[in-house]
Amino acid sequence: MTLPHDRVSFGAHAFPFSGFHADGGQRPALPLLPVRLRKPGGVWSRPINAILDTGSTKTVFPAGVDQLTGIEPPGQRHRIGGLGKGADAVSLVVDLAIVDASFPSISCWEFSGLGVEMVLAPDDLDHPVLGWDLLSAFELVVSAEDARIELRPTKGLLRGHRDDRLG
Amino acid sequence: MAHPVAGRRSGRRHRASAPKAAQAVPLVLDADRYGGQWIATLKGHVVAFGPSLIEVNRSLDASGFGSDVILTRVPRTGDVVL
Repeated sequence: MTLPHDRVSFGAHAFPFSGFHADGGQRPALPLLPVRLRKPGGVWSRPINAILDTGSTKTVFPAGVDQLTGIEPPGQRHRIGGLGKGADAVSLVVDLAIVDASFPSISCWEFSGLGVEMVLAPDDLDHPVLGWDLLSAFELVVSAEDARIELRPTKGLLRGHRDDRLG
Repeated sequence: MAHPVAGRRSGRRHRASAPKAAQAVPLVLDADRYGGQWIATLKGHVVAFGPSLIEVNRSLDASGFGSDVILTRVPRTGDVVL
C-alpha cells in the first residue's frame, strides 16, 4: 500500500455521520466514508459511500464495482467469511481515494495498488465495507456525540512518506 | 430500472435557489422511501435511485451528471448493518 507523493494530506480530515430515517423516526446514524475507485492509472469512478467497519479485516465491495472501474476481475475466485454463510469473491487491485463528503471532487488521501475484495453475487453484500487493511493507515476518532469521524494518517505512514520524499 | 428524480419546478413561486442548491446538505438515508435501493445524491439531494449500483450509474451517465454525485446503498427498514 502506497500513498502518492503529491496528493497526501498531512492533517486530519473529518467526515460526518450520515443520518438514517426508518419507520418515520430517527435511527442511529451510519459511519460512511466516500471513496472513488479506478483501475490503476485509469479513470476515477463516481464516489461510493462505504461503511467504516473496524470489525472487518478486509475492504470489500459489492458485485458490480468492476464494471464501474473497468477492471476485468481475475478468474480465480475464493471464499471470504464473516458473519453469515460467507461469499464467493475475487481480489481486485485498485487505486482508491477517500474523498471529501461534501465536495467529492476533493481527494483527501489516495492509495495506489490496493488489494480489495469484490463479492460475486449481488445479494451477498449490500454495503461496501472499509476494513482494517485500509483503516490501519489512520488514527481513527469516531465520535457519535459530535456525529463525526476523524481520520489522521499514522505517524509511521507520514514518516515513511517523508523519508520517501527526502530519499 | 433506475429512476432519475425530477428537479424542482421553476417559476415565480418556485425560483431556482442557486445559492441554496450550491450548499452541501447533510446526507439523510430515508429507509421508508429508498430502503434496499442505491441512491445518487448531489450535495445531499437525491437525483436518481434504483435497485442496482450499475443501473444507477448508467442513469447518471445518461442524465449528464458529473462525478460530484455520491452513490449510497440505503439500508432497508429493520436491517442490521454488519
